[in-house]
Amino acid sequence: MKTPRLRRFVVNGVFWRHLLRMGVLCVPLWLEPLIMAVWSLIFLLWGPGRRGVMLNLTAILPGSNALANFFRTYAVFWNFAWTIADNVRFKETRVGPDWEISGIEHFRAMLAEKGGAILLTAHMGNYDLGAHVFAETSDRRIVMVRAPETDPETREYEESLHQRTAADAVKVDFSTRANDLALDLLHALQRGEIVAIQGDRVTPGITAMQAKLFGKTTALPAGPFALAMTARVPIYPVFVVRRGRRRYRLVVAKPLTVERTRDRAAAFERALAEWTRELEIVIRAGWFQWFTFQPFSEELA
Amino acid sequence: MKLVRDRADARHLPSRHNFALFRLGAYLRARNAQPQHADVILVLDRHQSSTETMLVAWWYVLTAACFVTATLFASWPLPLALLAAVPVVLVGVEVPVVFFGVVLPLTRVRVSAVRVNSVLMMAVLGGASAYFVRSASWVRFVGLQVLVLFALNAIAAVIMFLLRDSIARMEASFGGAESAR
Repeated sequence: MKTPRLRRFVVNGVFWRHLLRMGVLCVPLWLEPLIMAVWSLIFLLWGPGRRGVMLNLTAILPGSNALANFFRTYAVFWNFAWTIADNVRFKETRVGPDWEISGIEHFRAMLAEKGGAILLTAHMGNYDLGAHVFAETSDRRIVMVRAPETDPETREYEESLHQRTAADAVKVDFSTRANDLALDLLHALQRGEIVAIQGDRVTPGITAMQAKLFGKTTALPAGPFALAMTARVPIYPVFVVRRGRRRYRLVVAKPLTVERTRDRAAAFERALAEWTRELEIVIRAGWFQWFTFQPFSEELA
Repeated sequence: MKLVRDRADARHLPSRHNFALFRLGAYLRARNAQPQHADVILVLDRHQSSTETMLVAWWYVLTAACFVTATLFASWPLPLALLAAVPVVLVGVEVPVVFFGVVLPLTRVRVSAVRVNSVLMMAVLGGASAYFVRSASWVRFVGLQVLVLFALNAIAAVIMFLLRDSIARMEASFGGAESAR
């Protein structure tokens, strides 16, 4: 067990958050690509994260070799560095990226929903910034559900940063208190709010369903589907894809509906199959920005 | 934050560029651009241009690497010396960033550390160029191109100042609005 002082320096420790903030507030912007290149290389020394990404790549890109995947892992780290820096910059200076919207008809349909809607997304591109596009383009309130930081100091730092910088239209809730949160989200949907949930990873204490992703068995959260069935709202698969420096694309796909039938399990399975299909298409095209640093399936580990 | 919606051609607006040379280039391009309607939201911020940022970043590191080569690795074969100089520059540029990042918050001075670092690093490059341009080796040409680019940028800044009303009218025609959030 590491002492609190040393824990700050582990990969999810608060030291790196402070360093990132300092970088965003101090680095001349025309020098940023060089700093990103160096720090992405330094983070490549993070063994578990590097190995996790490389293992995931073997499933996403069948037939890929370890050497190529090593360099691909650098691309993942490079994109991650830009993404988190863009996020901090937006929070600290309110300067955001450019946006393109793909699937505008679904996007408009979602905003026009009379009741609420669920946005199901993945750890891709910039999840946090994506919420602000909704805040920018509509009067609807958006509730983001996210996994809390595991390190207590980092969690405290993130929460204080969020309180200091959050827009009124975006509320962040953490997926630790599963039962209370489910009720809160149900009420939010019934009030006509939009709830954004990450549907590609399960955190401890969250109900999961078995699914096949890239041919491997994995656990995906059941909550979004149960919530959609209970609140009778559609699920919109939404992905925030990084397209380049300060450029993102919001991809909104056709909505999924979870029918309210006697056979709940079958309804969930159908919706889950549609979701994993969308997920596979987007991740395969954008493997360099799927920020999952642990093997997504035990079969890979 | 100012935003332009549904106009993809707004990416060429001068106010999305930082250095006067790039702003002038963007102005000339934007004047001749046809309106392009698309589902986009573009930010009007002076550091928004990726092309400019990437070009300046690599120009800076390669120029500084030439100066480091001529100073620290003068006796090495040139290709090897340049290869060795690039990491030295990449580490060297981090020093003022960390220094001002740590020192400025401790003082009562309320200035943008980005601006301080930006001016300081360009001044160091300009100073080094003025020094190396007087040398007899190949590195004087590297110093000379920096000074020429600085001079061209200064001329572009004067032109942009003279064109400021025309630029303001052009940018207003895109209907940029402050962010709602």
